[in-house]
Amino acid sequence: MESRSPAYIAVLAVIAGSILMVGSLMKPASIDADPAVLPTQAEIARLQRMAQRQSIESMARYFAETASIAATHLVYLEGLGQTAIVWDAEGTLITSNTSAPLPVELEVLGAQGTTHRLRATPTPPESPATNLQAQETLDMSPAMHMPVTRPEYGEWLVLTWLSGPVEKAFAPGLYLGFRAITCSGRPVQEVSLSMTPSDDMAGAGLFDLDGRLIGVVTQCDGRYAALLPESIDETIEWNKSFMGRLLGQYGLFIASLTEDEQQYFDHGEAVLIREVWRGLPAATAGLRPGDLIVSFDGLPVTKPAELQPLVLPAGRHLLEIVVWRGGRNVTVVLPAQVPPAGSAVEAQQSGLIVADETGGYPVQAVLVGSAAARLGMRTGDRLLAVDGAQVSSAAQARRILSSEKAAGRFVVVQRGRKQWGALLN
Amino acid sequence: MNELSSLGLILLLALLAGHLVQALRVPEVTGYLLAGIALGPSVLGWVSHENLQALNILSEVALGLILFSVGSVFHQARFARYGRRIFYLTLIESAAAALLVGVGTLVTGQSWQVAGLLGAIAIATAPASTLMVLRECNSKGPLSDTLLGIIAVNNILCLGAYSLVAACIDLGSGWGASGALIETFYGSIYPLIWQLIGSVALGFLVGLMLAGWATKVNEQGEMLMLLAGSVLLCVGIARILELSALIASLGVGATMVNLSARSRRLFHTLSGMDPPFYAIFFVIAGADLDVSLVPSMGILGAYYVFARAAGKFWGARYAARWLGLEDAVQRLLGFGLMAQAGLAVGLVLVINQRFPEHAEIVSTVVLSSVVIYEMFGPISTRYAVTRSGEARPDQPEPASIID
Repeated sequence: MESRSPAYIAVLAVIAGSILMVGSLMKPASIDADPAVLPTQAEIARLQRMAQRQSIESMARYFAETASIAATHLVYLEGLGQTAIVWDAEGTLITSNTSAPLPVELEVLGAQGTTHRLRATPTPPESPATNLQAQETLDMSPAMHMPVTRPEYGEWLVLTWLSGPVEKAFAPGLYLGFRAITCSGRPVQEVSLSMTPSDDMAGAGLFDLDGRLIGVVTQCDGRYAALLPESIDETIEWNKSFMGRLLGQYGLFIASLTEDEQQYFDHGEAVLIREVWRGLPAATAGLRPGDLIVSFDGLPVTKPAELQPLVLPAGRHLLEIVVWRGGRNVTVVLPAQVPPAGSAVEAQQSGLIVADETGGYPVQAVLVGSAAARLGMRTGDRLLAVDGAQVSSAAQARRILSSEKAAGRFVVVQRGRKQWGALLN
Repeated sequence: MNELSSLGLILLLALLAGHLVQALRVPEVTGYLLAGIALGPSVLGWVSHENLQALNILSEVALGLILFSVGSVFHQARFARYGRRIFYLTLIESAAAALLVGVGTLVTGQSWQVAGLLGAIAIATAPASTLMVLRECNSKGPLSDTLLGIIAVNNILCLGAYSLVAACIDLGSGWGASGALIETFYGSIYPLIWQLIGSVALGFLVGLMLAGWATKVNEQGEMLMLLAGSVLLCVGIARILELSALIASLGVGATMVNLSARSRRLFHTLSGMDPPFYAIFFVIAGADLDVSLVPSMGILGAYYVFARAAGKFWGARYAARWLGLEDAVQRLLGFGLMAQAGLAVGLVLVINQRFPEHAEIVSTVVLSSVVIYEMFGPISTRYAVTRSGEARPDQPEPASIID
């Protein structure tokens, strides 16, 4: 500062200060937003809400488009009021099993408005899924159901179904992983979702946003669950197995005798009828849980596999089965259910079975950890017979069950249409 | 990695790289930049984009200090000696570079807007790396003085040219509505005047305060506080007022050197404290370089690199010959003007916001060529001062630029 005159410097400083001041004031409006046109807080909030609504709307549109693409793999099963998914190129369709009788033949509307005929495959009662076979080439492509990777936790999925021949419906949900559950005793994998599928979604497909099938909504122990495609495939395999077909076509479930049961029945190797389903041929013909199958068509039977001819196409219409019941042999004549004619299904839809026949005595309670609980009995099951004798009064049942018997007691229980027997010891 | 650890790494690696490259007779600056490239997101990724953003403030402080140093070239006595030649040299070399780049860009089929923007950016010469090389080589003489003068002026010229081109682009697109013409014109010409005059005014005021206060301060530590405080304040206010921190810092240095008898001590003090800042500045600059852009520069990018270098080189040589300057200046001045960095990148960022329709091509060309200029510019400058015989690197005390 020493070398200049202070007045000169002061003038320069004032000029510089003025330049800054005037320059700031002369700033054009476009460089800085005019405070007068700044929106109010309320306006900003309204704009934000509007933007959010728009993004929600565009999201909903996006889901609707995804669903409508996914729906090209779906058909509507008229009469049943549920959806089926085109499963493979061979014309297999998958839908949820239903408690209502399944018609043998159904007609559905294809993609181009053409009508396709489907034939239902006999399905074991309570199996979660049932498959239908198209009778001619479908004009629809199968749903892509071999995901390379599982969805990410929290990923959006779209549940898509048909609520009428052409009415598409969808519900978006978040993927929350999958878990192992059992469906009528069979292990399956359920997709956990942020929402619970309801009965109008029976047979719905669960798709990711790339249109890959992640799950199928099926009936499972009285509720609806989205099962992984692998579980559906396993279910269909089981339905097609010998045991599955025996159950589906005749309503019959058999097994070899366990050691305890051999002791109880005082019988060597034999095949025990564990389950019959009322309204299906086995029950109609008079077979009961607790019967031991001794011979079939004149040949002695010691293993379940020896009953294989039951489910194979055979020339004859009546099959003779001898069972050992209450210490004597009883001959039962069983009408053959020749696949895939579907007479079993016809029997199902005959209407005879609709009213539940109430027999036996209701189980009031099952103690936790008891032998009954281990066998899977629960409150509401009806006790039909003990040791081959029909239960005629509750007091009689109590008396029999409370008396000791070394080999145990064979009880027959009814739950819904299923009658099943097990050794209680 | 958090900001502190990346900062530590930056300093230590800069030191290491500086030592390593000295063995190769390459300027330290290049070592810092290489360390930065290695640490940065485009190679090792130890310093992330977030870290860089957080450290950017240090970068700005360093640039402020550098330009404050450069501002000392505007010392009245020295300017009387070199002023005329610096003015003409800058004008001619800048015009040559801008024209060569601009016309060539037009010839390759780009729009006049892109040609104008690239031409304006081509004028800039990196003050920081040039100054660092001069300091490292402890270089003194007519070439060094001329070089310092030119880098101070041609960045101002670059800003001016950019503002003019920007105004023309605004006017060209706003031609339709006649009522809005004056408004458009005002809106586009205002930043030019404001950035030039306002920044000088700010620099003058802060420099005045610094010079006045410096008479009362004797201790070196206090001097440092005063200096750092003034430069930070200047950069900060420039940001608030949307002025050019670059010109304002130059202004502080220029005011200081002319008004205070203590300026020599002050600049000496500065040269004792600023190396870490410079190291940080260059490492961050290196980390910001996206080496992967170089292959994508294309024909236009390659042409830009060539045309700018040729324009600067031949422009400086022609002007020096015309002015009848020393032989060393005639032969070597062009080599000293190659570096290009911060200002060019800064202008690209501004163009991205203001002219997004032209930004893509300008960004690609400038950001990729900056990588090349940053790497070879300091080497070329070092070559110039070493060949001229003005470098005295063996002298023990790295004196400040002021003598």
